[in-house]
Amino acid sequence: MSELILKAEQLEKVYKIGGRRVLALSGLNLQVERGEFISVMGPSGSGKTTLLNILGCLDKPTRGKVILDGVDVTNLPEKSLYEIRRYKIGFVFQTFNLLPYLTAIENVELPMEGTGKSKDERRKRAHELLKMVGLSGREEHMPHQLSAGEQQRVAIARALANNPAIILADEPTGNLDSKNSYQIVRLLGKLNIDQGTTIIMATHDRRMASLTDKILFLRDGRLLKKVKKGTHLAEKLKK
Amino acid sequence: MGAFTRAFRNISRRKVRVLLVVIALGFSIAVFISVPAGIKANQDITQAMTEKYQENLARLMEQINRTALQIYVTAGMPSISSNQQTYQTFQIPLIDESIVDEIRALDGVQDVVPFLMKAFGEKKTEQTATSIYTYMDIYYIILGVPFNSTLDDLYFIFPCDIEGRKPYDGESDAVLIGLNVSRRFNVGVGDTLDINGTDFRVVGVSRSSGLEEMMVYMDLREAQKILNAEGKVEQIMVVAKDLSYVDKVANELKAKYPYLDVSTYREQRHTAESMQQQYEDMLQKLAANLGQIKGTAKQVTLISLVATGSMVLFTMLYTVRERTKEIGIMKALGFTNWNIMTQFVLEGAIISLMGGIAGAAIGSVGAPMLATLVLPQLRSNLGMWSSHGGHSSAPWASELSVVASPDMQLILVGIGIAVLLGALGSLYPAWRASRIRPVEALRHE
Repeated sequence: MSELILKAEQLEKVYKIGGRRVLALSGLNLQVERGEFISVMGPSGSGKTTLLNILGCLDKPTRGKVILDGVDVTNLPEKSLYEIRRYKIGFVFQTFNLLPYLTAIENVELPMEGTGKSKDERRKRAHELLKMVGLSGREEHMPHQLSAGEQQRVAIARALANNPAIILADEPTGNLDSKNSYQIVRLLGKLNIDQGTTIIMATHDRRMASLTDKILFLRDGRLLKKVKKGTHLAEKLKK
Repeated sequence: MGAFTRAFRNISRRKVRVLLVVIALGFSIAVFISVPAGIKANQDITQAMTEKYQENLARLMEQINRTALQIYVTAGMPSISSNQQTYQTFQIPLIDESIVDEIRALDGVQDVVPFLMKAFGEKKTEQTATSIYTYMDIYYIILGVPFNSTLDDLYFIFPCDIEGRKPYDGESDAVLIGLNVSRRFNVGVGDTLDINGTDFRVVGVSRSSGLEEMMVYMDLREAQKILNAEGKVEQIMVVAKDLSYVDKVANELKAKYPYLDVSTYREQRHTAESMQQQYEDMLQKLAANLGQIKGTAKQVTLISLVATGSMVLFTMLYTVRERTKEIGIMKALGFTNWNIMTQFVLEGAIISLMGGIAGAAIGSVGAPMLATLVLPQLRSNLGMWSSHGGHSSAPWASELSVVASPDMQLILVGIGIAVLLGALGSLYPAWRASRIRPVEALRHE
């Protein structure tokens, strides 16, 4: 029987915008098994980013709870949340969010700061990760010297720095052309298959979503349906 | 790569902004360093002036007290005659030496010292494009005095600062000459000097400046011979036994020799006393001024520090606002509030350290200028001295000038304050930065 890595129960998120209450998530239930590659689809404002932020401990739900790797993170104090963000979760953003004044390798090293790893260990690990995402030889480049696709690869390498249990990717291909988008999803798929990293990816792009194990559809903060996609990408990668 | 590297990279990304803060902070710290240095320099000058003034005043008073017993008797003021072409002399009415013994016999007279003085020189004519003028080029002034060491000990007949020695009692072939005479005739101690056809041995050269530079001190008898004035003197110094006799003796002299000019030093004493009063008034005024300056200095320094602190605060607030997204990213990567806060405080402190060092450099070099620029009263305080320096009794005032040089301790305190100011100024922005919720920060563009 598969092990659950993430479980969300009756998640509700209410925002107050200009005195109005806006329901971003409404009684959402979700279960993610370890090693799954899931995409979350839905129109703008459907709650994709809100869901990922709550699952990633960047935001708290108004109601409901999130259990990550067996720990109920819903009511954890800030201090513990930092550790969870640092060790359990890797974020990949639509706009890459690299620090512009750090080189590629320094960006990858950043989450390892303060983890007890020596400078050499951090650098070695960052080298390995950049090699894994196909950026050997570009370690010392500044973000502005890299293409959009390359920047997103650096961001993926950074997300993997502390070997997290789960990667949350919020529209990782939103700013990329179709060729680069495919390569990024392929890279995520490879990580999923080779290393068994659990990935949840929010996307607008049906083609990219179709490459994942499972697609979840969100509308008005509710999970509409789940679509099992089988081993589409895995099969492609094996070829 | 750590917090320091990130701080330096961020600082180098915002060069113009950092430069402005560094300049403002630098100026503020320079003021902090310079103002106390300026005040201290002012105090030091006042102190030095006071000491020097008191020293001079004491000397003057001593001289007045010493000469208070002296009464001078002459036959009238000297006048310059030009009836000879080659040698010019002060034509001074002479007194018959026989009255010296008469005066000595008067009641209340302690000592009587006769003098004979005559200047030698050449009448010179110079022509310019528009005029012709003549002047007297004095070679030397012969001063005939009794060569008597007892009288010299009591009444300082010879100058004190000399090379060689003073003439011995009755050493009639010896002379003591002034520096100008020594240079003009190229003679020194041990050399022979021809005066009006008679050779004299130079036994001493006076180093004193003023009229003494041109003097040739010789025995009264020899001077009388050379000047063809045997039995004549030009001036008689009468010393009373004590102060109570001064007026009595002076009056008696006036009555007995109505054709002679008799004067005492009573008036000089009054002058010295009024000078002292003036000086004490000025010192009081200076002290009051300095107190006021110190008050203003405190205000100026405080205002400048507060202004700079605010500038750091607003700059860092702006920086935090600008870097909100970066704060969100760092939080998403697992950085704690404390990590974020120290990052910003560190940056503020580094910028302030740069400002502090700049301030120390500006302050070390420009302290005198900056101190008087910020506190113009310092200059006017000094002006009081120089105006007083114009007074003949305080010519040394012009020799001193403000040298405000901040000491090392002050410079280090200045740098420390800059860093503290920067750290404090960035504390609130840093705290705000650390409190930003990651979701909101990430949404920020």
